[in-house]
Amino acid sequence: MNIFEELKYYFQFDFVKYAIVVGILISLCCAMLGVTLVLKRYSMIGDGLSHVAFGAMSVAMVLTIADMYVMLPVTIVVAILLIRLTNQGKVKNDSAIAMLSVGALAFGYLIVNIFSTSSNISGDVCTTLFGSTSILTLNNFDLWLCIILTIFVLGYFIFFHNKIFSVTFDEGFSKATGVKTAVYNNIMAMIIGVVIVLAMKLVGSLLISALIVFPALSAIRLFKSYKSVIIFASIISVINSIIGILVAILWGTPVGSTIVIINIIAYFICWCVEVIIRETRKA
Amino acid sequence: MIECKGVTIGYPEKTICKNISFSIKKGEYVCIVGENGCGKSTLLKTVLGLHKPLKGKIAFEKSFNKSSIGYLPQQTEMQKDFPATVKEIVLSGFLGKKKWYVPFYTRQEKAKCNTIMTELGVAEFANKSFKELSGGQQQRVLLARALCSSDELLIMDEPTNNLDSKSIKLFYKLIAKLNKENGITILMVTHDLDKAIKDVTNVLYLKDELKFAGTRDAFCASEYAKLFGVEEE
Amino acid sequence: MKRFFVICAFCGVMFLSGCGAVSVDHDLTNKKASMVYTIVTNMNSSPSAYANKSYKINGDIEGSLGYYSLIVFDDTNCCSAELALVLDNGVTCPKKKTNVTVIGEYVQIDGQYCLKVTKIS
Repeated sequence: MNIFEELKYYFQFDFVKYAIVVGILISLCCAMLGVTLVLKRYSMIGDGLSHVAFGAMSVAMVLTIADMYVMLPVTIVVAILLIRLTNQGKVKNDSAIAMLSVGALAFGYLIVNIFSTSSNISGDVCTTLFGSTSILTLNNFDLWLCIILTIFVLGYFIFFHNKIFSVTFDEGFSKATGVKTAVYNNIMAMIIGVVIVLAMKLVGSLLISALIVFPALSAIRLFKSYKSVIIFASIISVINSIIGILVAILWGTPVGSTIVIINIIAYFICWCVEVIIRETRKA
Repeated sequence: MIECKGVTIGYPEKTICKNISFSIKKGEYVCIVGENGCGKSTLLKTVLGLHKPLKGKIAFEKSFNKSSIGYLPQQTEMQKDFPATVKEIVLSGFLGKKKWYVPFYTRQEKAKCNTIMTELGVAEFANKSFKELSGGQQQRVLLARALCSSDELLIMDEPTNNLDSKSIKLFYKLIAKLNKENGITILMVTHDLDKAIKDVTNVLYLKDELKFAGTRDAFCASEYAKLFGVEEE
Repeated sequence: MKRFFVICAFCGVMFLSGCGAVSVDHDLTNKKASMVYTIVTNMNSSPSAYANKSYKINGDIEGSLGYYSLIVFDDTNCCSAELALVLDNGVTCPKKKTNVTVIGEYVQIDGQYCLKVTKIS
């Protein structure tokens, strides 16, 4: 069976179509959020929060309730606290996040091992951390929650594009000239929480940073205006995720790692293109 | 226009400067001077509402719209590498005055932006990346952004840091023109008072407290003038 | 005469090979293990979309006394999914329970979805 026939075979299944749709939406959100986080040097916050989300998910697993009910509120609250404390300078970015990160990870794994009634703990944990097939096994509730939340997040990024730019580029100026920066920072913190939780379904908790960081960095290498950086990051993120999901389907590789490797390859290609453009301009 | 009464600035753990009282009238060109760490930037930020004063009150004229302030802050490291075109940055000056449900720039705002950029001589860089410009050009871009935000009051924090002397001269010439021809009130923290002094109307000198607040001529005749190289001939 | 025998033999071979190759709607035996695992997981969570179609799946059999299930693993062997089996009349569970191929139709019996197995090998 050649590749196209195999893909045609798989596409008759609804779960594949849903995976592609949700994958596209989540990648778009991660890319747009990633540009802001990378430019504000908040990338580590994304990483720390993904570990907190894992800890929250472990609690949900132990209590056998739907994971979203615990992950979303916990991650959003921690995100708001972290952003607020960082903005006020009360928390030194890297060490506090490192403590939170490993603490949540250890706590999560410990309680899952002690209290969980699942028959296959390593399998559950592995899927949550690395996202091997979670995007392909979404249940109805997760599917619609993902779609609705991502549409809200995308709407926010598009509608408030200019204000987000101003607050990211120069928060002091924005606040002094009348922009309600506190509101925008709180909304951004909530969005970080939401996007991290959703992205866990696509690439797993340990690999979320890649989805946030790589498309933004690839775009920043090649483009000079904020708008084009956002657009290109979104496009490259979606392309990488689609290719990643298809490769994973065809060759049985774990979805999360495949998407991340493709992101790395794309970043490397963008880097080479940038060097080529620079050298030809010099000549 | 701005009235400052008995203000103490600083942080909860540390008072930097106390007993600051002064008033700024429309059309004045005021310079704040002092040693490093005496609280000049903090005073500016307190006037702008970015910091709360530990004591005292800062009041603006009733007819003055607080979102009509032009601010030129010190550049951060992050901004030097930020991917943004000059036009995107200058246009962002309008955002403070826009309602939240009008997120996109109107045609009038884009036209005004073009006018201001032409006036400041940065229109040719409109679609260039901010990080590719020289220090002097970047400061003019940020000044254009501040002017989009306000055509009445310009508050600047050490705008000539990192500029070479030729750019500094050009910059002060520009500020003087904005003050005299366009009637914009200027409040500026500066380290090179001697280069701006001939167009300045008032000076504030901070050192633990407000040691001097008065006209330029009075300052040049005072005992502090020689600290800044502006003694009367 | 010779031609008649050749034709008979030919027809016989075709008939016999046709017998061996049962055509199913979904032949999962040549698919990657992770996708088989994914499909089985989805069959369990949204069974109606997969019902009334025939499947051919590789896996391990577990269970006894009429209650059997097929276990499939993903490529990393860390996650497994279970498919409920009901053996059709005349089908018996083989002695070797690992790495078997089952063919059957996914139907609803007594309110529960399971694979009605028509052949095990």
